[in-house]
Amino acid sequence: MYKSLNSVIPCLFLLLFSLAPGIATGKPVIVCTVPALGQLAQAVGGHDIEVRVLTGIGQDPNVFSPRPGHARALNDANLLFTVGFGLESGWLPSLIRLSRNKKIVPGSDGYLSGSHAIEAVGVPRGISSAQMRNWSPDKNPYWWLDPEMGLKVAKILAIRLSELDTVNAARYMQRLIELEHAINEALPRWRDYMQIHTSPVITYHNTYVYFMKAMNIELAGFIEPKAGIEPSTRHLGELIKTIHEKQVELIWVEPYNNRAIAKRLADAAGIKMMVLPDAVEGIGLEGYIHMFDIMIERIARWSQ
Amino acid sequence: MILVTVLIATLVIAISLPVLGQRVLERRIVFVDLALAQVAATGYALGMALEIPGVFAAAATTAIAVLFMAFMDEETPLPKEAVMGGVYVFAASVGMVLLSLLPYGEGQLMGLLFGSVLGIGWQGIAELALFSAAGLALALPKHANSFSGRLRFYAGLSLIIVPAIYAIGVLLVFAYLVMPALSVWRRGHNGPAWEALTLAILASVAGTFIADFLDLPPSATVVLTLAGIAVITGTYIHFNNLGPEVIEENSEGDDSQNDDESDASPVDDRIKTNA
Repeated sequence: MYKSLNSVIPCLFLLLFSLAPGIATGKPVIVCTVPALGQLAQAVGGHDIEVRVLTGIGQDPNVFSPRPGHARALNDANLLFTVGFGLESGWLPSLIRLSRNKKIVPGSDGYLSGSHAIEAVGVPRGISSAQMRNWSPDKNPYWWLDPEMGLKVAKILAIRLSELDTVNAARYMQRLIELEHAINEALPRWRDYMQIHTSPVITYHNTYVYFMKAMNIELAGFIEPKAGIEPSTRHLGELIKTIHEKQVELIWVEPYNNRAIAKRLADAAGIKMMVLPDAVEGIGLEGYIHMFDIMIERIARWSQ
Repeated sequence: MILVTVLIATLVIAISLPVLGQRVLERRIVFVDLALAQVAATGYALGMALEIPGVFAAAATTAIAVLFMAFMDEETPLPKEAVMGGVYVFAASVGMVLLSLLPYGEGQLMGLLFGSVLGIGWQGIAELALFSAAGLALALPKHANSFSGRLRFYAGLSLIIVPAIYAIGVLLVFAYLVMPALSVWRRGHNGPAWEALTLAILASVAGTFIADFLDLPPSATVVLTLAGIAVITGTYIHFNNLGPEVIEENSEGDDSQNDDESDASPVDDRIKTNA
């Protein structure tokens, strides 16, 4: 009796685990670490791939706590598409090990990181020498907030997908061209809009540096130059001086960061603080383009 | 401007927390502040999940925790620190599960648990002072070791600690609650409250200005300054053998003399300060 139970229980677990990620569709499974990467993958892969995203909108990918379901989502993945530059280093390696999927380990064909396609941005325009000391360009992972960087990575993704699924290679390349057209068409409009509406800004962390570089927005400083380390009162005093000198009108804060310090600084300097998303709801090409539309519309509204 | 609000905020807690810390230390319930703060934060997350105002949900869960703690007799054979620790890990785990289901939740919950002294403005300072005064009025007067007495004490404690952690962060609150009281602790009992208050105020002023001068994070620098002053004071008290004389408890035949005070805190009754 016990012997038969001993053999049945593992089989049941195996069955449950294999069913959990979803019914097999025969399409290549692409697992993405953040929502915007899921949109980029869907933009290139369309209905020829199955996209799964590990983190949700508004979750801080630096401190994500994976659940067993996330490991199961990687079980049958053909490609793991990551941001890179250390963003997921706190939780992704153990998740890959737990998934026991050898196809997606770093260095294999089933692993693609943004850091394979681009270099992290250098010191942004407008930053002071004091802030430069704390700047680590090689560790800024938020490249998806620059549409041109997103396009560069999408090109590498399209090539990798074509190698994994040769039958649909031409369709991946066709969708890449559509993505390129959409971004090239929208970019001048976004830049013009930002030129009219935006003065230099202060941000909480370095999250929006790629976005600012892409939209030609000047960075006046960071509230927390070293992530996770409380700034000093002297640093905040200097930021208030900078706000007045450079006529800064807005402070941008990520959805998952502590807003109290940013609000206090904004109140002390008599300017506004706004929460800016780093991902929005939406699927594929439309979702990715919509993210920039929403960011720009929100900045313009708060700048008035 | 920000330097001034940081200084005033740390002074408010330097005045309110050390005396309260003495009550906490003598009852051996140091984890109570972490437990209450975590219960409040978890309540806030629950409120977000149920789409009701987070503050009301936090108040409700904190009230439940206070009721639960008030059921525990002060002379209970249970190790009270273990109960507080249990409440803390239970609330933290519930909070973590809720967080995993809520988009945008973690930032708000982290903000609730780990406020920063840099984020507090004049209105926040006024609220902190108001809650501290109300909390002290409830928690400081001697209370009977009865359900209602303990309820008053824990309610006062939560009125001070939960808003303080939300406003200025767990690091400063825990430090001001424990370190000054511990520093003047002598011969197994609390030392004079004025000593704890003095060193806490000194640490607030010195720590805030040192942090600004050296361009360091104010919360951690104030805590380090407080720790430095507390260690020096504690060492001096220890080696100079200063402190209250513990009066031996009355013999059985004298019990009748203390009948009118029989419900007061047993620890308070055993300590008489030297002339």
